[in-house]
Amino acid sequence: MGVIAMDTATNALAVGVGTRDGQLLSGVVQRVPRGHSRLLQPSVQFALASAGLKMADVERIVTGVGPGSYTGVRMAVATAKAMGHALDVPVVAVPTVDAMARAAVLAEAAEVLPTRILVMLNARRGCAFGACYEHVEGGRFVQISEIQVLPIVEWMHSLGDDGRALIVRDWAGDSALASRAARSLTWGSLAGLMPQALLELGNRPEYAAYVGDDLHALAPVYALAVEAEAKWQAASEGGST
Amino acid sequence: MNILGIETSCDETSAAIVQDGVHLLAQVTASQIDLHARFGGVVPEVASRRHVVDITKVVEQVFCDARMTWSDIDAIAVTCGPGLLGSLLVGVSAAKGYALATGKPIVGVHHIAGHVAAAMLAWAGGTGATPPFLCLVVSGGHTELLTVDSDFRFARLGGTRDDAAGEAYDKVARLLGLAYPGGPKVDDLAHRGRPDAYVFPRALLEDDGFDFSFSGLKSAVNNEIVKRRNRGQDVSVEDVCASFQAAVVEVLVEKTRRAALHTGARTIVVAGGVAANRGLREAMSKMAQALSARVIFPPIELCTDNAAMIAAAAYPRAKAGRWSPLTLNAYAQLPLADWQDDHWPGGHRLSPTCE
Ligand SMILES: [Zn+2]
Repeated sequence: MGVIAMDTATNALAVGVGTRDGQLLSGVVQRVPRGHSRLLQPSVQFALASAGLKMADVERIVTGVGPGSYTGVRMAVATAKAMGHALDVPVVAVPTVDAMARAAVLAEAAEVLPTRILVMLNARRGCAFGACYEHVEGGRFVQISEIQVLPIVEWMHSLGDDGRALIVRDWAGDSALASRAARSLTWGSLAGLMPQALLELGNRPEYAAYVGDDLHALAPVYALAVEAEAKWQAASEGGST
Repeated sequence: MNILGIETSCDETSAAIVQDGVHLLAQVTASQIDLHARFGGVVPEVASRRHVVDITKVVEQVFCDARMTWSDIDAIAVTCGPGLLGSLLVGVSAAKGYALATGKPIVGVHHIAGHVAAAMLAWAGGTGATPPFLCLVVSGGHTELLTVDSDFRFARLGGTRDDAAGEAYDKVARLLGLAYPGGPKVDDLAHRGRPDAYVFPRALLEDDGFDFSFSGLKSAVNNEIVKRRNRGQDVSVEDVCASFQAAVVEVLVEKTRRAALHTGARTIVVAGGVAANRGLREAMSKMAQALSARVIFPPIELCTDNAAMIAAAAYPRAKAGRWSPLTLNAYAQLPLADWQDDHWPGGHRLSPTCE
């Protein structure tokens, strides 16, 4: 009995196949520019076969739901929905940033875990999709800010000042980021842990599982309104006053 | 052979089940027209977001309507280009997800081949077209004159050098302040106006080739309106629509007539969203009659984007076992010739899978 996990919201395509209790059996991570669309389903097929599982063995699907690249995130969500629909199994929606934070925890030694983890994905114009997490106990982190888009300078305020925070970001350089936090890691160095992170979180009850008629409603977390819609909204509100 | 078709290239999320490329067993289309009307046109990101929500719904409903399950399906067909990339990717991702989960083979379909294949579906009162035939594809995104041989292979005679015919309709509709989508409204108004009230250019009509150009038409219509208004004259919307439509239809029909004479085609197919246009249907039928050729228009509901046409276009490939691999991608631009020879943009060669 197995679980398939996938995420396409970052520059790393991540696919994992694991046991029902969240243990990774086979993982595929590919950082091929513009390759997600071509490679997602073949990667799932490969990971499943590598784990010695058949499609009929799949009892749950986990998908990253963003935020991140709009076009990218829809590939995993549409694929996971179709697979969940055809197989009639639940699809668990895990925010990509949560799984990224989990990947960071997996990479850290248990005795020197950061107090906070700030995950950021470049949203351009000095802004980032992100979320901030705080250590509660035993390696468990809870989200202390909602998933949203903020200027990077504002995100930096959520780090605390004990110097033991960790930043995970999907862009290189930017030494100013590391100076306030204890450390700063690029997503590229952690992406290899994404399959395991997705499988672990997909096993947690706090993430909604969509099945049956509810499955249709499963959609990515975009964290940003479409520009045209936002403008239309602003104009119609302005006009009604 | 039953093929499940999926089409998401623009603003319709559609699923259909077609038997043997001819019999439409069921079709469900979630239209986004209301969603985009307030923006005066399709907003790609809005369309993509809605596709993700609607895609499994339309597939579920189509199985329900056809009273079928996956065990009745032999293959999956999906539009892989051309179109809006974000929209196409939802359909391609979902189709590959379904294929992976069910083990069904998949066929990536060119959108224009789909529009043409709409004419090959049987419908109430019609048997549909059987290739070979000459085909004019006219829609918001395309204006193409093609020959289709008995193996459903295409040869391009010509096409638009700038705007598509449907695009010209939408632009003129916007000039006249008609609500989106304006094309059908122009057609309606044209029937109440005088087609000779204004003289608009017939671009490339003197040209021997089979290319079209419609970009100058919008400016000509705009200039005429401005000129009349500056002189304090009334501008009749009906007359503008009638005169504009007369210009578009004359060029489309005349080029098609010459193409029919050039190729000796006995059957002419007119497909795509603009094939629903009454003015075009009337003029094209008259022309075909004069040539003693047969002209076939798909039923109106199969002229706009739909999944039945995609399933129908996939059938010849499916029958030949020319499946697409799971690496099938979506392409905003995809030349028809490349698709039919399995040449993918970016240097990938799409060979049929060996399994
Ligand atoms: Zn179309």
